[in-house]
Amino acid sequence: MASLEDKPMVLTSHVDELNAYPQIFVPVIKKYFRIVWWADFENDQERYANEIQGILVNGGLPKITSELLDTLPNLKIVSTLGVGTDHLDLQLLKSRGIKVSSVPDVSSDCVADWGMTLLVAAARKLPEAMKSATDTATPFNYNILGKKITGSTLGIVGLGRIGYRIAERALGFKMRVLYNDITRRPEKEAALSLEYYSSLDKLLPNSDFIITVVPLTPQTHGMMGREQFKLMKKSAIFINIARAPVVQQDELVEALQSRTIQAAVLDVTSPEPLPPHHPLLHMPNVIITPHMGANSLESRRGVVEAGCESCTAAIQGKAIPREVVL
Amino acid sequence: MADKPLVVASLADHELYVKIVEEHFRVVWWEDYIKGPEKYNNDIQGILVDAYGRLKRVDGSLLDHLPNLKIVSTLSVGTDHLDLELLFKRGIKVSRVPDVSSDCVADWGITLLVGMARRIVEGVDSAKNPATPFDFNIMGKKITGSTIGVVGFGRIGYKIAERAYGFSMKVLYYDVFRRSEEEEKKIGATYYSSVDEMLPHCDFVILIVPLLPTTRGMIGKKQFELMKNSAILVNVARAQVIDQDALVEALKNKTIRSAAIDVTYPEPLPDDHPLRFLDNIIITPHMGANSEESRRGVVVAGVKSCIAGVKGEPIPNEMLQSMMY
Repeated sequence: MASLEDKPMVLTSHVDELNAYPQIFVPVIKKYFRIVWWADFENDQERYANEIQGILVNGGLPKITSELLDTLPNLKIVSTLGVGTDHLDLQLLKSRGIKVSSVPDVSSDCVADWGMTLLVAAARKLPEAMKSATDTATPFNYNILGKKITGSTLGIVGLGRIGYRIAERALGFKMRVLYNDITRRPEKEAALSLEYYSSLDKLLPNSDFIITVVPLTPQTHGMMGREQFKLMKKSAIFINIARAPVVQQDELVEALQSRTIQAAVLDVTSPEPLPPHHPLLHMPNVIITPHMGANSLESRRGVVEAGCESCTAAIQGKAIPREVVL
Repeated sequence: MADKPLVVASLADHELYVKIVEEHFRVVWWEDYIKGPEKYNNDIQGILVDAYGRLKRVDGSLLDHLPNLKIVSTLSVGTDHLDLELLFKRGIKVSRVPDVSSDCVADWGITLLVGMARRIVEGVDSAKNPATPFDFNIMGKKITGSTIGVVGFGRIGYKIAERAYGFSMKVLYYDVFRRSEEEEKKIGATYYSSVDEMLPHCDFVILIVPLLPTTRGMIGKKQFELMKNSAILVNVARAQVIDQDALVEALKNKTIRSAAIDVTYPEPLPDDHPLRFLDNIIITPHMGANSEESRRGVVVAGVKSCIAGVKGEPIPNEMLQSMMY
């Protein structure tokens, strides 16, 4: 068992129970590494710079800039503790010969569970219901009618690991499941009796629920805008568990205000959090949640563990699990 | 107008009901009936009642005054609010609506389960309420791969299990009747003949039994102690299936992790009831059947039965004495 001094040094952001790592995950990292917290690094770069061999990125921090890379001559890898890599300048890292890893799979089940949770809660108006029954200032109302889930049609935009799992759960509710993806997936289609739409615009009018589960790329940036909301049914509910810029947020606000669609659920917003007076925070037909897709202890801990494994492997010059090929 | 039979109706105040009912009947609504029952008693041939209206129990106190009553049609699955023994003794027909809302109630049971498991109410509060900080670290309970114990494996219980299976949950169930091997195999369900034996294995327990003498208070102090400390309880059955005071204690002491209940006793709870002040509970206002399709469908079916009963024709969805458990 390596003593603390033998463990390689990594740079990471900070502990904050609300905004960053909760304290409970720190021991996971300490199993593998000596940790340099960002604040300490900023105060005393000279002390740590040469020893840092890896960076763990959580919640987009620390931000990887060329200036930062210039100070770290022995950096081997940047390991982001999540699925997305849209916050990393991959070209920059490639040009410097620095490896990159992500965690694309550990949290898939939990994010799929969350996508379905948001769908059913919005369909059947769970937050409103809770208020009616528990808030003494709100009347107890037997007639909060929601949208029937069984037998309805779900359109999944992006049939990757998470999208596929969402399809599995939707089928349990006897929903009809359609999907759009840049790649057609015939085996997955056959396995679950899914219906493929090569065109997003053709998928939209047929769906009672639309859920976006795509990575953020130049192609998916702003893919859901005014035209798309117009194509959706007036009774449709839109759910985003991907990245906020997949949606043209101001056009979503317009669509909701004009009742072009019935309701929206956003686990991700621009920015995060929204400023207090933002219209989305004040619309009764909008559910917003604080980026909670992966939030079971098992899943979050598993993501940290997997990220540390990748980071260690790179430092040791071994094959890197979950490497992002640049 | 004089041709239409007279019914007394105690239903949730909603325009959805009024049109459908008044199409087929002359109606005296409960609030008007109680102001001067003598005006109506001799003419009333049918009672329309649901779980939401002011009339909470159909028994002798009402029935004794209605000499020409032919049928009581409850616009619900449950019949625990009817004095069935008395009705059958007096030869009055009974109908209910056992199946129209099954999908919606199953959908709702799972909605409460996943909503409580992943703490969505807290999540929404964190993101939308300026008084509550935005918190990226609200940790819930993992749903995929967990074990659910379904207490009551009728129409709705089985549908709940199908939805749970879609989340790759392991399904255990209790019922007085065991399902066929084929039905069990389809969703990987394991049968337990004893609730107490099933409970210690469950991450989630969902109640979906009718309220009967055998199910009243079936979940009490002992059962909470048998459950895991990390378990979540969901009730979409009737409030009295749970010993409600024992539930309060179990939640306060964290004997179980949390609960989501669609039914309480009474409904609604008084303003100062302890259940309102716990942070590990979701309470909702008896909404299992609450999609427009479902609620409308229940009324249409119930009215159809009531018409048949008044006319002396065969009654769809009739509740017979032999069907009582």
